[in-house]
Amino acid sequence: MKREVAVILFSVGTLVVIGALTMNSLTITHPTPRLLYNHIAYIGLGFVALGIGNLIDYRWLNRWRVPNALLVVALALLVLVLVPGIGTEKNHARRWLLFFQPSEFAKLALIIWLADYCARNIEFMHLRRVGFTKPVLIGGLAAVLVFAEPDWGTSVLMGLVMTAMLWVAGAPSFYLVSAGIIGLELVAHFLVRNTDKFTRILVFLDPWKYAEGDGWQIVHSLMAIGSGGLLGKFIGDGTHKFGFVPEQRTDFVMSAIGEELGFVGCVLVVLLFVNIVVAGARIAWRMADPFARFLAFGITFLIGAQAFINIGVATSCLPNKGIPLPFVSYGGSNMVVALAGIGLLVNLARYAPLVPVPELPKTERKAVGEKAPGFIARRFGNHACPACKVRNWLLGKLGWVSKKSANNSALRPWQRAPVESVRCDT
Amino acid sequence: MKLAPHYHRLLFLTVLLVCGLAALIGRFYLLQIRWHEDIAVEADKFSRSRRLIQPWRGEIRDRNSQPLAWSVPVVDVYANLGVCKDHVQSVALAVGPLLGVEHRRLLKSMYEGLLPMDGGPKDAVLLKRNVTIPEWELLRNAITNSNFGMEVEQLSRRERAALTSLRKHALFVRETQMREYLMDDSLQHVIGAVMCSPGRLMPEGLGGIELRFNELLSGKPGYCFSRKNARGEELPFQRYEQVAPVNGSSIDLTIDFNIQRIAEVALEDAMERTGAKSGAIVIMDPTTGEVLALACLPAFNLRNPKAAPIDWWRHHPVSTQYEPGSTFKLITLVAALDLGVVSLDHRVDCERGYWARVKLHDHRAFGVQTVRDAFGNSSDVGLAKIAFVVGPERLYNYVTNFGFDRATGIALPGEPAGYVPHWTNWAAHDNHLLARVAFGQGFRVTQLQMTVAYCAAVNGGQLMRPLLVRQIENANGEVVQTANPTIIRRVIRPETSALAREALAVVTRPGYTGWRANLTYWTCGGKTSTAQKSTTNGYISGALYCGFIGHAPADKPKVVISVAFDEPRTGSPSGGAIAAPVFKDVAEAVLAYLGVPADKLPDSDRRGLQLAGSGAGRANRPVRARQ
Repeated sequence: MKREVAVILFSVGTLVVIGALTMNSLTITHPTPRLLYNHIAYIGLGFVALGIGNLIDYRWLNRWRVPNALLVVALALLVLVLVPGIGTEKNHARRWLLFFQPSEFAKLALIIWLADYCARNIEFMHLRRVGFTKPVLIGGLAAVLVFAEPDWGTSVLMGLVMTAMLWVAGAPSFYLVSAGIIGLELVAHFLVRNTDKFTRILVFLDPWKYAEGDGWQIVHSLMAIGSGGLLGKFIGDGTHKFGFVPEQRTDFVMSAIGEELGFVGCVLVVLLFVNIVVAGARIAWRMADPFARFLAFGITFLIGAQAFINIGVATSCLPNKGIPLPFVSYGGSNMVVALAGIGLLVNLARYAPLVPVPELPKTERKAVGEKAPGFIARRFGNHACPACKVRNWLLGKLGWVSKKSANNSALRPWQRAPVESVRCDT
Repeated sequence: MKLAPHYHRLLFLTVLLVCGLAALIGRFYLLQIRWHEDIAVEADKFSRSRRLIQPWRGEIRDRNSQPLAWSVPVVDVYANLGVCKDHVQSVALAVGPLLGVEHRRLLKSMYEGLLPMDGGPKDAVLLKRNVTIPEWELLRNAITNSNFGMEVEQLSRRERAALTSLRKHALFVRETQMREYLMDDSLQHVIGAVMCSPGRLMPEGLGGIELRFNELLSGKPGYCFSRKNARGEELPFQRYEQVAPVNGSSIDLTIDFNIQRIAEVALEDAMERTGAKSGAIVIMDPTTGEVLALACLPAFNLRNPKAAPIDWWRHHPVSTQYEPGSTFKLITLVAALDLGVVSLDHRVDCERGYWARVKLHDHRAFGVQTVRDAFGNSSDVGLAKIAFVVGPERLYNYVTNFGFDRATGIALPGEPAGYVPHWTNWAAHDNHLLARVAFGQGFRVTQLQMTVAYCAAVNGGQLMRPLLVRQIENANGEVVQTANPTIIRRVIRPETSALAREALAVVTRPGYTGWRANLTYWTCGGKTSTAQKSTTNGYISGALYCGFIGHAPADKPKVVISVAFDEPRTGSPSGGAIAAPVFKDVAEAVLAYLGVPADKLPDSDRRGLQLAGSGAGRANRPVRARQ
């Protein structure tokens, strides 16, 4: 796993450097270079956290009560930040407790707790109560508290990571999908009630229509990225940092990178995140310990999803949410938590080579030789479903043999599938 | 039942995430490669800033290069409503006395700016215009140290921050320029007022030279192409093109300010004495056509032109047409003399004051007189008879040659084209228009046209273009253009001009109509006029236009001075009684100023001395008609 660790550390390091360069060029809009100094201090703190995450024994996190205690502390902090006298209010949201955001810590705590929970109940994850009801209620509590700050983006992200982890751990898909639909409905309900947030959706649908008002930031973010071109205007020469994109150092840092480093820089950033995701997934794949596997997957998915949402928002592929880009954006809590997660990932990677690499599930066997049929095949028994018949007939008329189904007369007998196999491939 | 780990689920989610991220690369391709050109053009519009740099407006000077109007840097003071919003009262109280404006007015304008009316709550309101730079420095110092009526010791931290921002940002200024004048109540119509409207970059002339040469005076604004931030503030080190402004040219007038003041003081005096509705004095150099003075009353104040009623903006000698009256007899006489149909010694029967054939009255009854005497006594009948000798077509030709049918072309706005009915229409009027044109009725001229024609009659017969602008200097002080004396055409022969001077000299002799214009130490000539004012319904009884045009010295005229009063009220209004003494005062002062040597002794010592060049002997002594 040394290669994966090297890839992850290289990618994270490069991203951190790109972020620091961007902060350096954004500093010109401020009277003092404090922005850059703070950012470098956060990077230092983050690497300290990375070291700690790397050096601790990860099994300590799996011990009895530790994940629970972490989650309880996170929930307590999330409640504390909602208390009017204690949480600091900025931009109509209580997100700061003195100097850090509890929601960032809650993300990591939730992942650790879920990994622990799934590892302990791994045999029973297919049951509704164990695999769905209990973890979703507890994890949902954290998401709802974050939602109440309000920090909609982070709560949606937490819900997403929770669903993904439970699904990977073997929770039943049906309930997760249903809960996801119900969650989306709830979000839609709050959206319609909340004019500000609903405007964000309208702005996302047609930013140019609202370019003078609420769409200002997103339109100028697109302009900044677009005006970068292939190679960009070079570091420090961007002009959109002068008030055109107000949140450029945090949520819209991609617009600064796109303007100053161009297409090449953007693709580099995206590829670095792809590197992290792939390497993290490979580490998760190789883990023998279920806790370690779920933890590695959770951290990887969190970073990948956060990057995807952030870049998607900056390029107007997604509606506006307040989510920073990991390793790049300005912000201490985010930087420290993300780098601590990377430290844990690197830590886990050390235990991988001890166990054999699990085999890939064989997909060929599933298409032809699987005994357990899907629900359409169950309905039609051994006969092919009408839609597949029509399709095969049409394609046969065109001279195209699409499927090796048992009753396809266009094939030679030895090309056909065995008779007892399921004929419907949907 | 399959147990966890669900490797396919892990693989699926990872591949989904990677695909999502890869799709973002496609988005970046669209934005940064495919649509790059269009987006770059669109984005450039937001950050491009074009700032106009104000050029310096040129000076207006008189012929001795004495500046009459020039520009000084000033500022317009604005209140920043975003900062003052909650402290309007205290800001008004603090700023009002310093600006010299009553604080209630400031309060009113600031509250109106805050109201959501016509254009919503505004960011800033104008408090005072044209504040000089030292005044603004004092004001800024005072505001920076002001407490705005707050007790600094008892303020909370937030209030203290508000006070600091009030001190720093409550007021701001925009730099403009203001017109400064040597005398703001002199030469108003010729210079013309200037307006610096707050929206416009450059001041604009509203009248006179400022309007006529507005483009030349204002120059060309410079540009500064640069980058700006979202608030519209220019960014440092981003200036990529700068075009320096071309400052305005300076204009030297032909007007001599000393002569102008002589004329204005005399005119003011006479206006008070006569109570006329308006009065004007035009002084020209007949040989070159240069206008030496152009005074007109009543007039506005150049610094505050809007305080005056709109009638006072009218430049009467250039813009107002009137029936010239008796001064026009000069043209009739000159036409006859030039054609050779009469001489000054011919005798003409003035019909004892009433010529029944054309129903003409004289102001006094005259018998048979020489033409010289008929002219000197200003006999309408006599001149009408001479006009009949000349005939309508030939008289019309002389009238048009003297330039009465068109504008003189002086460099001032608002000059009307002349109005002279064509001679073929003269017979259509109820009594023959030829007889009335002879003594200046039935058509309209401006005082300037009359003066220019008079110059042509006395200067040897050349109609000169009236010059008001002597030379134009560009911003570097190089002379760009010089106005040379221009002869428009020769109207009469020089001999005729000499005869005209002789006849005009008769008028100012004792016993004739213009005797009050007779100068003490210089010979002179001139012609009075007492014209009835006409409307479309006929002549107004009692409304008279009294004028006098004269030149001095009589034989070699250095100046032509035209004086006119509209509807004088006191005494018995007539040109001889009202305008001629003004001519005398002005002419003596001007000739003394110009250093023209005296060419005669005072009248008491004049016995035995002849008028130079008049050729008049004892036979031509004034003959007072028997009353």
